[in-house]
Amino acid sequence: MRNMVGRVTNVFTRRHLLRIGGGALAGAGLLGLSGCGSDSGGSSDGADLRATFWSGDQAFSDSMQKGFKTIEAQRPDIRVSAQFGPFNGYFDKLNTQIAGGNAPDIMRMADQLSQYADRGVLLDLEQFVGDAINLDDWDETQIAQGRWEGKLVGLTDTSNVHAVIYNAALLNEINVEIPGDEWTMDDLADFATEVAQTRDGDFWGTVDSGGNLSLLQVMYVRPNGKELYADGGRLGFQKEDLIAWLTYWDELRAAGAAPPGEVSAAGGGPDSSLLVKGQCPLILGTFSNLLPQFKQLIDSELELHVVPTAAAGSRPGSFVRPGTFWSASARTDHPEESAFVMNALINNPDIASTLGQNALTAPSKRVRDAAKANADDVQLKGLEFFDMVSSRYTTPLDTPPPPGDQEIRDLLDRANEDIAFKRIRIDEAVDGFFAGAETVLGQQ
Amino acid sequence: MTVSRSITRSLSGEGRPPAFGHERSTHPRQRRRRFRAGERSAGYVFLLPWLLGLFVLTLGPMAYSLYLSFTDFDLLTPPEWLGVGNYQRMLQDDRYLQALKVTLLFVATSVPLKLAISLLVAALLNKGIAALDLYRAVYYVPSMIGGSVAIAIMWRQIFGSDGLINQVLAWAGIDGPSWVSNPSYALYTLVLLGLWQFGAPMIIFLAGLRQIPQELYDASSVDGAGSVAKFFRITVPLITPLIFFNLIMQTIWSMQQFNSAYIISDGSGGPVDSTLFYTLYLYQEAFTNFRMGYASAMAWTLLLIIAFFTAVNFLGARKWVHYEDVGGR
Repeated sequence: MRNMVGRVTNVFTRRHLLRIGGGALAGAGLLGLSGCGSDSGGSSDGADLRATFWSGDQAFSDSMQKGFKTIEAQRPDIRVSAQFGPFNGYFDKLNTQIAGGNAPDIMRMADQLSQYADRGVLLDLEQFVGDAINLDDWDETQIAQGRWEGKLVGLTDTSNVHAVIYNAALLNEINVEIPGDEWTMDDLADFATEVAQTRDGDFWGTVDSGGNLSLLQVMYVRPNGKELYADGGRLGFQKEDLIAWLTYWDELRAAGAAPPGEVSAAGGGPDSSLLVKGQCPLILGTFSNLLPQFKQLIDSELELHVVPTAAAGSRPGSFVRPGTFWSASARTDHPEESAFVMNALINNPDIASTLGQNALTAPSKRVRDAAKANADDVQLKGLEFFDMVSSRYTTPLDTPPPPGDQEIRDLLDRANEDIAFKRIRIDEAVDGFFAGAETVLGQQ
Repeated sequence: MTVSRSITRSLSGEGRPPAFGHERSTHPRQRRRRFRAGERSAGYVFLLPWLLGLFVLTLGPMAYSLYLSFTDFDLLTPPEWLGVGNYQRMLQDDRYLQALKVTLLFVATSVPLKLAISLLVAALLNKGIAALDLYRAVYYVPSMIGGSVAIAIMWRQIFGSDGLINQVLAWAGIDGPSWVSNPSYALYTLVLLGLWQFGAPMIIFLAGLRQIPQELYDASSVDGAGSVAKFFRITVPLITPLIFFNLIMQTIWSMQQFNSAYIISDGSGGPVDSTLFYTLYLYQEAFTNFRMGYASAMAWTLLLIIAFFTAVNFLGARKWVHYEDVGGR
């Protein structure tokens, strides 16, 4: 620094050159890196596809990876890179990717299908039917489930029904019997109270499901002859219905049969559920294809059971629901390859039948037969249960959930939580819920 | 010092031949001007990568976000112009007001406590402890890792209903609540997490404390001052510039907290929105509820709020910050 003026000119020039060179390299590096970022384009010799899905258990993830390898072997011009994780947070991540213009080519979808379809995110697959996509042994209803406003935006991957999973061994231990298939909400209340009284401390007879929109639909609204959403995307039930529902759960909490707000607010995935922690003998709002997943988490005798209904003699509230869909991004660079991969995942018996429980209720009959041959006992139990419930305890549901459904689920969850923590009266919570739901549905 | 002195001397035309050069004997002024011309363009070239980053990665997106704040943008379809609708909506949105309340409460609780703790620990360390480097490093480590997802997950475990804290309390026979899912306590677990990261301001205070000449303390001992008096009459006034710096930095940092709230509340904003930090609500609106326009409006409002607090701090600083080169008050 002392030689700032004068001689320094020489030294500066050398370093000057080095630094410019360095700066240029760094700049070029930056630009180069951003160029080879994460676009799903292919090199000219083939397609690089990205597929995302959520996975509840390791077996499924492994089978999916193997499936992709098989597909790559059949079509050497396709390379699939799979990204998967737990269900919790899957859609937040997907939204971020879509917002960044970085949507995966192939995505697993569920109830949220309409949300994305309505906004033009999903590719219309109709053009590939009969060609890359083969639906000849599908049931028409299952094809229709993936349609939104005339476009085929999702291929149904599997069907399931709502279910209760309970710990038979635990019930044996505490000497309480679970009521039969046609049990009502009152029966659930009695059962839960009885169970909670068998032990001191953190032990309850039921999960607090006041904030569970699906259970509101299946246990209460539908048995009472109404639907969750009416035509035109409005709510199909009234404030009295919701007041009755939330009061029911409030009373269960007061009786100690359901856990207090603090426990339910802890959240987390299946591995933090009360069933798995041994603090409750059942999980109320799950699905018929999730038995293997829970079996992995708790080493006990688990059984499937029908969801309780509102009152004796009401019409069945369950319905055969499309479990998951496969969809392609509307902006994919490789529509035909994406369609091929999805078709293989769903319709190719060799691949699809290895994908666990879901394949047993797949839309394609060929796949169902192949899966049955490979299924283990736990999976067959799930299939048996599905067949039994779908034939006896379901009524068909025509209207898929409209866009905004996800936000309404959150509204109900928060309303129930507010009541559980005594922050608000039930009628106030219901007013708030209806106001919020109307705003959400009105905005879509 | 040397540079400016020599330049000053040369500029004033003292005309001594350069002591260090065998360079051209042109007039010093001309030589410097030519040199400066080269220096200027060199400077810009060095700055180029950084300038690119500034415009492309920072200012550009900020401008786009400002535009989005006046639109209705659901991430998936093109934005529609809305005018000030998003800003009006904020004023009537209960959850927004709740988020504001929670964030301000967090800042008001954690920032003063954090400054106090870091100053105290720095003062203790300054007493000349053996292995000072070790302590400094150990206390600084939480600042480096504290903002991470891994630590937040661990924190959630520790303060959960079956977590470490409750297990320890159980030994003492106390049945602890679930700290992270109880609305009365959840926010304070986040405050604790913030306080745990006191290392960064502490290091700054430590550096500042070392600058205080020992003679001042010695002189005050002669006047009969005890440690407390020394601390409040000598130490604190002399490091007010650092307190001011840390106050501003910590306020800004706290207002922007996201990770900890997101992980500990499982993305929901905590039991009954008790941990709904401003940024968390912003995230929910943007990415879960497809209201990016509204979220952008919230982001810019946050900028204004932080700017306001910073301005208030700067104005207030004239009253209580003593810089060394300003004459005594």
